[in-house]
Amino acid sequence: MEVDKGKGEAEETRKVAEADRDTVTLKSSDGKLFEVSKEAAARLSTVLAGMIAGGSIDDNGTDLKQIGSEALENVVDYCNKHANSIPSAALISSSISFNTAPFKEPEEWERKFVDRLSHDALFDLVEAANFLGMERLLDVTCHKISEMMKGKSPDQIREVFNIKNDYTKEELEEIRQELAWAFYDD
Amino acid sequence: MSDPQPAANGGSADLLSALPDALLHSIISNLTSRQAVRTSALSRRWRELWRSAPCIDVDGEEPIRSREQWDKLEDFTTNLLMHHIAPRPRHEIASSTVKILDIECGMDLPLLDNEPRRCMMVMAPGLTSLWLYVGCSPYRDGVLLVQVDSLVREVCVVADEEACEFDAMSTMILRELFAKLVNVRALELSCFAKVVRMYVYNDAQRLLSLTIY
Repeated sequence: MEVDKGKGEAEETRKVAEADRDTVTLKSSDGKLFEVSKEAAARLSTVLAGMIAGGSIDDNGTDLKQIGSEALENVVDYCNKHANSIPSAALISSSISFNTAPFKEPEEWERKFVDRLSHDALFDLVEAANFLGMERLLDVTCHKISEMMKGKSPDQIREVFNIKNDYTKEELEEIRQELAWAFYDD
Repeated sequence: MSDPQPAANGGSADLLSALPDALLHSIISNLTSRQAVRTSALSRRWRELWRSAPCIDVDGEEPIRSREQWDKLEDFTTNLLMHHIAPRPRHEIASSTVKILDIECGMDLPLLDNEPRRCMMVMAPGLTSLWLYVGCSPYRDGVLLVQVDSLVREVCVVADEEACEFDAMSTMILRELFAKLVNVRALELSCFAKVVRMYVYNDAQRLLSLTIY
């Protein structure tokens, strides 16, 4: 079966990977295989970290039945790009941290990474990141979705995301009355 | 993934509303709070989501130029904090343009539940003055001020009830603290790296404990 190498992987890393098995092979729901750096996978995904630590990684391709090949390719691509990027000061945990620490802005490459995705691919990636426990990737993809909502009226947001308005006219009016303090300019 | 439905903006399915609450909270938290509240008009799925989103950004969408704009923002903030039901103890206000935040939680406003809550403020780099009136309000359990590492010179906390505590920590750049504590029972200050002078006015003489480290 064909093995798709991550695009951002450097040649040296690849040689080492083949010798020492520094990579893990992941299998998408449609049977495609992808190779990703073990270190990056363990660092970026709590689920993969758990599988690696627990020895439940299959050398012939660990089954990820919930994730399609397009989304998995993006996940692997993200991991490899992440492994090759120099973390900015913002990503290195600050001296003050509490569990409600606000989300750190996406790096330039992360922005580009999600910007090129189609609408469907973005949401598939959100689901994959959620399934794999990839907190940073979730933050970056959710941030992209927020960007798509910013500055838009409820009508415009419904249009962009195909949200069905299931309120009656009366209910909608009631909400606008109740929350008049937030709808004051409409 | 194969989706047989035709593509209008990438598919006619509502992929966004199908996401779990936790992710929608995260998405809402990146919006300005006014827009966050307005998501309740999208559909039934969205009606109550904003109320429990973990982060509130009260940043004004435009710079405040008039008294009228300020009054609107103040009214908005007060309503926001009253209607927001994030699990305690997190009410976070991330603000970079608001200079003075004056939040009044008056006696006449109804309690949403009987659960006492703390008001927590984080990351307000532009804040210079903070006035909190903590009455018989959702924040009767106290106020927690975290990392307001900025120009805050003046903090005034007025509490009508005895059961109020005021904590401030990690206020790295704070140089002078003017704290007027009315009926505040305990004051705890930590990590005040650069505080040169501190004035604590305790009008009602009710302060039972003062911890500074």
